[in-house]
Amino acid sequence: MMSQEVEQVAEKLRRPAHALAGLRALTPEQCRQLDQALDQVCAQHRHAISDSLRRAFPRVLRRWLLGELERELT
Amino acid sequence: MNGLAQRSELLKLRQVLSLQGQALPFLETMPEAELRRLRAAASEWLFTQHQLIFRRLARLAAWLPVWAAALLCKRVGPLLSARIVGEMPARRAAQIAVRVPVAELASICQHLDPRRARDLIQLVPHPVVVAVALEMMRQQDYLTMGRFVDFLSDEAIRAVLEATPDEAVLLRVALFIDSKNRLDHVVRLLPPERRRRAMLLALDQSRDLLNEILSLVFHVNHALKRELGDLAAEQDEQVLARIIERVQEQDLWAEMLPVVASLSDAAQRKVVNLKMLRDNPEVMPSILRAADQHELWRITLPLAELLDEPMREEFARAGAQLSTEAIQRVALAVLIGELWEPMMDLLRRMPEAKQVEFITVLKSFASVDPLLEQRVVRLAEQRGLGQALHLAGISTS
Repeated sequence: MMSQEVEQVAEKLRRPAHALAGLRALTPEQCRQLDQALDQVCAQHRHAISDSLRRAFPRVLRRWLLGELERELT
Repeated sequence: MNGLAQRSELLKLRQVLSLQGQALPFLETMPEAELRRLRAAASEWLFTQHQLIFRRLARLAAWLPVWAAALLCKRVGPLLSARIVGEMPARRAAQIAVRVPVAELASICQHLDPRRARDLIQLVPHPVVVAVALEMMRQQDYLTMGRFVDFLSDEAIRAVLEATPDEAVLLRVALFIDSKNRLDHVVRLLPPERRRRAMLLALDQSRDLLNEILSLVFHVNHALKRELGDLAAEQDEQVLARIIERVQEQDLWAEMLPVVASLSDAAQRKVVNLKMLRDNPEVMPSILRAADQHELWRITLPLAELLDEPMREEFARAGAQLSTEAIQRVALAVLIGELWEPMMDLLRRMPEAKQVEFITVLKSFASVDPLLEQRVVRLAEQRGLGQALHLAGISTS
């Protein structure tokens, strides 16, 4: 039986819960910490990418290149 | 089961999750295979974030002249470049890669998932691969190098090996190679003299490469275990004592026992009778615990025949502490491996109560075959275990 927390991490990583069965050994609190760590690294990457794009291209060019997609990074 | 492989997998996961210091200490208790699955899933997930943006930028980069696309990589930095490259046709990405400065390529590799760039890695010319590898060595980024080894051709690996005169670097990279089959193959690409030099680095205390050397020997196949293990066993007792100390400290006996079992007879005899094994009373119980927990009795018991008298006493003393359940597992290994001789020799050194316990279990295993049962009883008598047989209620001739 998978805990809700394990299923949440698996869902986030787009894996069936049984593929990450090793997470069952973790407590709900540990699962939450892992979940947060994933969110944090994802946010770090998003910021780094957003900064890189800002540095590399002027705003108009960014809008032209990415259009509405740029909103994903804000 | 695998302490060193688990630790290197943990480092790789920490890199993917950008974890600092001792964050998420519970990951340290997860088995290697689970950490690997989690790393693959997290890496894949991170790579698919904002994929449409990277696809669009990749289309732009593919449309630009090669020199301009290389300039774009420099401008957007390594993380974004790695994401864009991951969405580009491999041939185009390879054309751009040769125009990107080597230091930047090395940084891009840190953020690249090699599984998503396997075609590109194959297409990058070998001189560029070598230059990037040398840059990573300069930065001591052995972890990233190890992640890429699985995806490089033999020719590219040969070129890198030739450009790397220091075997210590190779050992450090080997610790992080994902596929153990690939590790075996890469070690075979090294000339025997260089394999020898790598093993002799165990002598160099100042570089502390014991974990790297042990990891290498633990993960290669039987024939290489024997070759590399024999090379290590040729060293003087002090070096071997350091190796055993490290194995004991880090509880690596489950990995070490198959290495000892692979050694040539002379090397086995030398290793199993090391004074250090006798002097430290914790070693033998650790060995037997590993043999029991990891079902290694069939390779551990035959080693008892190579022990000198004091070491046999030590083995028997530790064996006498085994639980009834462990004795059942020993008995099964004795039956399957025809290990009655070393077993009886150890038994005669144990306290009488333990002899009776062992004999009762061994007899229950042997009794399926009357001829075997007779043979076992005869052997026990010859070994002076008549009284224990009697106390176990077994009639003798």
